[in-house]
Amino acid sequence: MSADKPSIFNEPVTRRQAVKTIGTTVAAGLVGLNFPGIVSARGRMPNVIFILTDDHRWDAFGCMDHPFLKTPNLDRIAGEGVMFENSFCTTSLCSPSRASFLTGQYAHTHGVKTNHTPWNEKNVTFIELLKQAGYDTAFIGKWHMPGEGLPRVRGLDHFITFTAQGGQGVYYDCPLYIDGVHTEGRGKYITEDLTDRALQWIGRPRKNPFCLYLSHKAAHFGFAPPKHLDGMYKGIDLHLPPEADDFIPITNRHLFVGAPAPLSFLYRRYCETVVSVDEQVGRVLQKLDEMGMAEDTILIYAGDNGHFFGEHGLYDKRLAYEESIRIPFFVRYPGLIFDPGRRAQQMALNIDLAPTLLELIGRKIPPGMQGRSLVPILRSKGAPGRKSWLYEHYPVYPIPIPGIAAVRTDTHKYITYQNNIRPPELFDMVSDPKEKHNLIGTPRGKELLPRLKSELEKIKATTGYIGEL
Amino acid sequence: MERQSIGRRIVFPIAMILAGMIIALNLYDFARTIEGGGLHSFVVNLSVILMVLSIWMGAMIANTIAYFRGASFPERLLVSMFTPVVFLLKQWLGIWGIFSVGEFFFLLLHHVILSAVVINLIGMGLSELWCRIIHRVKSRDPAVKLFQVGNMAVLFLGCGMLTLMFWHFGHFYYYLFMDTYIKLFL
Repeated sequence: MSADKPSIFNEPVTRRQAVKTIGTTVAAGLVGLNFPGIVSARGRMPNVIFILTDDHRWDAFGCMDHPFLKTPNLDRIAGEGVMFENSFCTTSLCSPSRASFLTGQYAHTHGVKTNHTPWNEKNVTFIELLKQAGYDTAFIGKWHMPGEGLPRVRGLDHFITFTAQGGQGVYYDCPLYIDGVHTEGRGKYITEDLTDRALQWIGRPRKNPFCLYLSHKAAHFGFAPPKHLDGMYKGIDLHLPPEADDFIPITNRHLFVGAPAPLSFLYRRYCETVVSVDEQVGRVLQKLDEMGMAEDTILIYAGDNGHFFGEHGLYDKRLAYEESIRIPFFVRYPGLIFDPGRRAQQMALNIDLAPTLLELIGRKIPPGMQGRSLVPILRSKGAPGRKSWLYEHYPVYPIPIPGIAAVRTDTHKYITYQNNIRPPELFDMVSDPKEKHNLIGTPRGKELLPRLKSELEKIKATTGYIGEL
Repeated sequence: MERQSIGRRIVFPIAMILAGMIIALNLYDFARTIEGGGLHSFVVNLSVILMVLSIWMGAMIANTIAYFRGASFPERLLVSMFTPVVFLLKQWLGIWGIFSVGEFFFLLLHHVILSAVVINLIGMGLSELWCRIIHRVKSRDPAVKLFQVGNMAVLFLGCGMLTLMFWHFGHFYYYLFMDTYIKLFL
């Protein structure tokens, strides 16, 4: 080091400069400690992309060792981030689960209990809170929560959605509402159309970080893959569960939840539709790479609920069995996750999305949110997870599935039904993960029941569920 | 046509189709417990064939038997509709306790609840036609008319309701039903 060359080591420092430097350092340290994700590599808050799909089972991924399904792009998100292997929805139904993602609340709190109960415009969404934090915001895709006309979602700069078929949309040529203006379909496949519009919005020049909520219709019933994928799994062994048969979508123990087509046909088309989601997610990833934003963007992929394809002799969802309540939940954020590809075992819920995003951008989590931030788990493999949570289902006219309140712990599940219309069920999730043996009435069940009953009552009380059904 | 006893012209066809339905439904549920792939498929397929024959095509069979055993038109209507109505009640009563009483009764308009009855109305109407053709050919009696008010009424009623319920792949009726439900109950 030359003694003549001025540097920070030999320049005289004034008292004011010293105080300023120390103050800035301390403030930065405090911010860093409290809000570790507040700034991205570019020195500003990270972008947020949340991709939500419909009925995408937790195991319908290449990276979940699916016997034939290939999802390289979705696998990439999991491989470059954290995959929550034990993630669940608190209500296995489109509208309630979607509202839970947005609000961080259980269905009995946000009020969207079924696909027919309207969205309460007083609900606070994480989008609104991100807007307040300085984000540009967009919601593109399936809203599917009833109400008078289009919802007025506070904090949204750009809103594209559809109302066709009760808000479910259609796979081809779906008319859209773009910022409230009805727009005829462009003849495109819906997943591609929504992705086109999302990419267009991502590519807009902007000063602020952005939050994009991309909500696909796929892979909901209708299961219509795009033409180039139609039939790609024809003739393949679908590896349906041993108790399944082709008539299950029609019989389904009752006739109100089914579909008039053979199970193998539906499942094949479902898988082909999932492949189309993978392709379109690949385009989003490519766009982020091209724009150099992949490192500065929190990308979360999730499904709203699971789906039965023959397990327990069932089709559809709603019930509290694993195939129905498990969801995919992948978080990719290179700025925070230092061990990409990790499979977190802690239980994560749909209601955790909102608090997680808020913590990641350094905002306070409102007291009304019932989920927990997953940031500690994203940071550290050993961070503790929750021990139990409440599953709730409300009857959806005219489907003959009663209301359900269940507690899922990391080892057991206890399910109760409205008015005891069905007998309660208790499963050991460790020794019986496929829930084939109801322990109610067995010596082991008698031993476990008081603890699980008490846990269910406790969790009902803490979440404000009491008296719901 | 010789008018046989009540047991032969009414009770027998009803019992045969009803027993077919009961066996089919239980056999199908039992099939799920069979682990072997081949046996599982065999029992499932057998039970589903029985289900179709009893629940959905029962009226064709029962009405044909009753017709040639001399049952009157109201008796044939009873014979044809007995099993589908029992099936309807089974489905309908399965909802009891989940929804309000009003919602419970409104459910009678649901196309899935009504479909077995509607399809069997068509089945009965078709059965009436071929029974009358056979009857007329065999007896060479011109008094046996192919088209009568009763059999045409059930056929047209069935076809009309089926068209309404499954128009546009069932979307039209489903959303009509649900929109009315929402207006009435939510």
